[in-house]
Amino acid sequence: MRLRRFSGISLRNLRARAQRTLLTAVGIVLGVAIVFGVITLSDTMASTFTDLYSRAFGAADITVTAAGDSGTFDDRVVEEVRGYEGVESAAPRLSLPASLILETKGDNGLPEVQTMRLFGVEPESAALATGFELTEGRFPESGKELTLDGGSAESIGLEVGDKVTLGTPRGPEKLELVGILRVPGGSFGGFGFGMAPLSYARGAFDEPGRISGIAVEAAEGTPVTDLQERLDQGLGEGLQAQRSETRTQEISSQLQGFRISLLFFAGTALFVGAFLVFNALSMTILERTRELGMLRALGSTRAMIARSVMTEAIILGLIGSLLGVLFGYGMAKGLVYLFGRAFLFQITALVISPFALVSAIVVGVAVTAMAALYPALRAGRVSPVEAMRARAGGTGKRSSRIWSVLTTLFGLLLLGVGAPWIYYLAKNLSADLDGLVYASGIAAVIGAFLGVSLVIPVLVRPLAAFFSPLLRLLFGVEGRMAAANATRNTGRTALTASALMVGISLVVAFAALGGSVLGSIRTYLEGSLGSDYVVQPASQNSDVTFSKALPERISRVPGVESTTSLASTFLRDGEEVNLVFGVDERYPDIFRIDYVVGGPETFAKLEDGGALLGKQLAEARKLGVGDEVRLPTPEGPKRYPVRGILENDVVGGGAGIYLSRETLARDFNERKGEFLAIKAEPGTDRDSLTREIRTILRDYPQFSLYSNAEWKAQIEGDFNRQYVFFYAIMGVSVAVSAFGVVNTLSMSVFERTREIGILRAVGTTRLQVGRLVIDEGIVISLIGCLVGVAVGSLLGYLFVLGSGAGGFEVDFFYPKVPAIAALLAGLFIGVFAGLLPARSAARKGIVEAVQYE
Amino acid sequence: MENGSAIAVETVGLSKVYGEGSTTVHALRDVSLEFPDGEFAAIMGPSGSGKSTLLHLLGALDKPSSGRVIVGGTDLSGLSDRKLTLLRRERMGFVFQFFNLIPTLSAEENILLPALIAGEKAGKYAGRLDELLDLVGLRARRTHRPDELSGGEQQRVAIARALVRNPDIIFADEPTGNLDSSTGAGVLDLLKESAGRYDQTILMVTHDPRAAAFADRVVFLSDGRVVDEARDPDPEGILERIKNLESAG
Repeated sequence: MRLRRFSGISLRNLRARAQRTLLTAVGIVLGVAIVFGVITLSDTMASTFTDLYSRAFGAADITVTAAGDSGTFDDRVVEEVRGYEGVESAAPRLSLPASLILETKGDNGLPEVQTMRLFGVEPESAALATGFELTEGRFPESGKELTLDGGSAESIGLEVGDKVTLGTPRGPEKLELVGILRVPGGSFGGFGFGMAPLSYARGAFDEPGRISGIAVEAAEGTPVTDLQERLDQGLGEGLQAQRSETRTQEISSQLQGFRISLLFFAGTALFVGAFLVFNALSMTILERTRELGMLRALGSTRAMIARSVMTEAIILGLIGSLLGVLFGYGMAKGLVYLFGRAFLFQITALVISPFALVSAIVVGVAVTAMAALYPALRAGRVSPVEAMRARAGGTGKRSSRIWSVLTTLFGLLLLGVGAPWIYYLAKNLSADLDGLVYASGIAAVIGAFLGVSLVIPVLVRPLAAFFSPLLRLLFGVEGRMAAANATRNTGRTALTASALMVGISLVVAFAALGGSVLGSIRTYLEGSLGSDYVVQPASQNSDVTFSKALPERISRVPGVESTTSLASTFLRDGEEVNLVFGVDERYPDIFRIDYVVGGPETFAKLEDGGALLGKQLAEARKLGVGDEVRLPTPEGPKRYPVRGILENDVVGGGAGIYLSRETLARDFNERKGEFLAIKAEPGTDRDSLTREIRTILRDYPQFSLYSNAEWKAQIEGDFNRQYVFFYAIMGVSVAVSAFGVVNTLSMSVFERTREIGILRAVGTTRLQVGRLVIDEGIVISLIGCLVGVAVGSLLGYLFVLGSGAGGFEVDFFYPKVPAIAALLAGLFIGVFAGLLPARSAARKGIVEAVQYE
Repeated sequence: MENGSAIAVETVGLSKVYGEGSTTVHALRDVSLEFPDGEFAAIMGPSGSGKSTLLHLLGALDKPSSGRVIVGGTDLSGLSDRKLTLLRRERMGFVFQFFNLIPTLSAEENILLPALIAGEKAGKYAGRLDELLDLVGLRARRTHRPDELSGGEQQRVAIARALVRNPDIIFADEPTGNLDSSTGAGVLDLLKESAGRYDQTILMVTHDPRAAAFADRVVFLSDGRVVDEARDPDPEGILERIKNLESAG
């Protein structure tokens, strides 16, 4: 096709340098892909959660729950609600954590367990209590009947009329399957969902006369908001009435923080991709200096030249982004899989929103365009005189000394502002992150990265000099020459190394945080946990509970010295969320606690209705011993005298509120235990002890017995699975930066064609030339990885300091293995990235190369 | 001519200084020259004599340190980069030593480039393109890429490119520098013939006496100054003068 306008040259250039275009686009493709993948994952999660949530809980116009949305209340409220003018119908429900006990046996020989949520409903109002529709059978009516979601029924292989075993706090019970529910997406995120008659659920789960929510339908012609307000006002302080839409929105806004942090990790890949674009375009422009000079001589204005470079970049960005979205679909699938593995949550159908599509493409193109801006302006500034220069300006202009001092100082300044700000935020943040504060933290991290990137150019020479003897030792004279080559264009080496630094430092920082948390938990379990065994739900995502009978039976086992269990509930009071625990006097025997005020004996004093507070909470609310803490209960707010202040408690962190089990049962109706710790008498035969306890647990297959070592392994396993998910996201930015190294090396080879020819002419072998290139790759990537490990360690240390803000003190464990792995990765990336450019360097014909101008 | 002036390009007291302090280089010192319309002038001199600098200044590619360049009656002093660019676009054509063809464009696309840069439709130049392809003898190779053409062919494409918008002045920087002597001679014949046909002024920098012999006049530069001049020169005469210059310097 004949060229018809000047701007067409951009496309020709991209086509002509197809390999470079492809390499450059890889950064954009991967960056856009991971951003698209992450947005799609979080969209899918949000929609899965809200959809399920709104269907499960929110089919009705209005929902009445206990104030704070947790705990149960008296079912007399149902009649009260039905008495309101404008209420068409009201359906009570009792929402319970439960589990299905399957016929199949797991690896440990115990029956497999499917975690589920169970609704106790009244037969006549069952259809209103949930939004799920029946596909088969009917809702439960009386006795031991169960209606189950289709996904669970199918995966277990159940049909209407079959018997199902339900794990309850009083043991396993056989129920008859009477109906199948259609749950959108096939399954309730991997959980089961079932309904049983309210009367049965109350009995089996020890909740006499209690309900946890009422679904209210407004009569026709009654304004829903008006009814909601009247109910909210009229039902008293212990209860709240909310429009179902409001509740659904709350759920999705809770996912926002998770989304932001995922986007941050994904964004770094794109950020690194921008480095690649910048580097590649700068190089292309350097190569084309004479051509650009000619175009200027022939009458192209500066703006025309800059525009044509921008056009090139935007086409590149567009192609990269489109490919990225395609690729991102696959990545989203992978992420959903990893997410499911990490958090034991299954998502079957991906939600591809137009927003994700458009924003990934727009961000991809915008990032490319931004990265191209400076090279484009520089292209415009090429003098027309360049057209007449004999040699194309290969080495590039050295920036002035003053300029490099200024950028280094600016980099140090950014680092100096960014790092303390991260430290400050980390130190002062509680678990509840404000969006804006969170964003400023991310900005500080990015600022610190930019700061380091600006400082790296001055580090290139000393670091290369540092590696030089090592390389000489390993690779002889080529190694030393390669180290020198890497410093010939410090700007480009620094940019390439910086890109690598970003990804590596995030991985190291994240590993430092994870390793420290895990290490601290390990130390805690090894040194400070006073129990020998714990009883925990058999599956990680379960929050099943047990009644008093289980600890009572276990404490009668010979050889058991004592047990303690706790109960908990969380209360939302406006913006605040309170974690409230019910504990007994044996709690301090089992858990190591530091006391700000009080001692182990204060736990015994809770029986009179007093409370203990975590340190952070006490400070935030300015409460001390002698004050009273006010908590919303279903019967209205109550006050509890503060008896002591705790520090560094693993269970409640710094924000816990501790009441006696009796108080929690009386005021919050939370009777059931959820964590059981067992202390053995010294000298007991452990084997027979565990055998006896496991015999008791046969009636409670939803629970497992763990020794401290087993429990530790379980926690580490859960942790590692979750980390794989985050590492996968961060790995993308490392991969992108590895491509950056390839790009830089191929530029070096191209630029030094003549020099390589001369080396070959004087007797350098092909292998030596290839090694020269690979060694240069190693130098560049080692610089990036070394600085990355340093920055990552610092960042990780700051993260660890910050993670103590929750109240459980985390000690810093240096991430030795990840740090060494990162350095080895540097070596590997250098070699890997050098392979292709080295091949092309080695293959250059001598005569051709020497004649090359 | 069109602009009513008999002088195509004129310089008055032209000087160019590069660098500062101890690294100062006086590339041109107080050069005043006139090139009448339709003249084919060659600029010669040993390397470092300032001949390339002079061409850059005459061609509005660079700005002088002092003095003036007047092109077709327009004083270039004080013109913005944009104005200079437009002036080059409208009135000047360039032929370079390294041809400077765009490798990704075909011969005819390279020839049309100045028109495209000026934002004109390629279609408008269809007739002109055929005419030029015939002139440079490349009608059969119009769709070939530069790397499929010989050096001489590439330079002929470059000449056609310089002529496509019918400029007043053509600047040639060592146009035969990368060609063997017979190909070079062919290129210079072509340049001279086309300039004669379209009534254009040619200013050529060269260090090759045989190339300079094609010119109507040769201006000799040494150490940034005009030191000699020859009309209707022959290669031997030019060589003689250069030897004299070098022994004098």
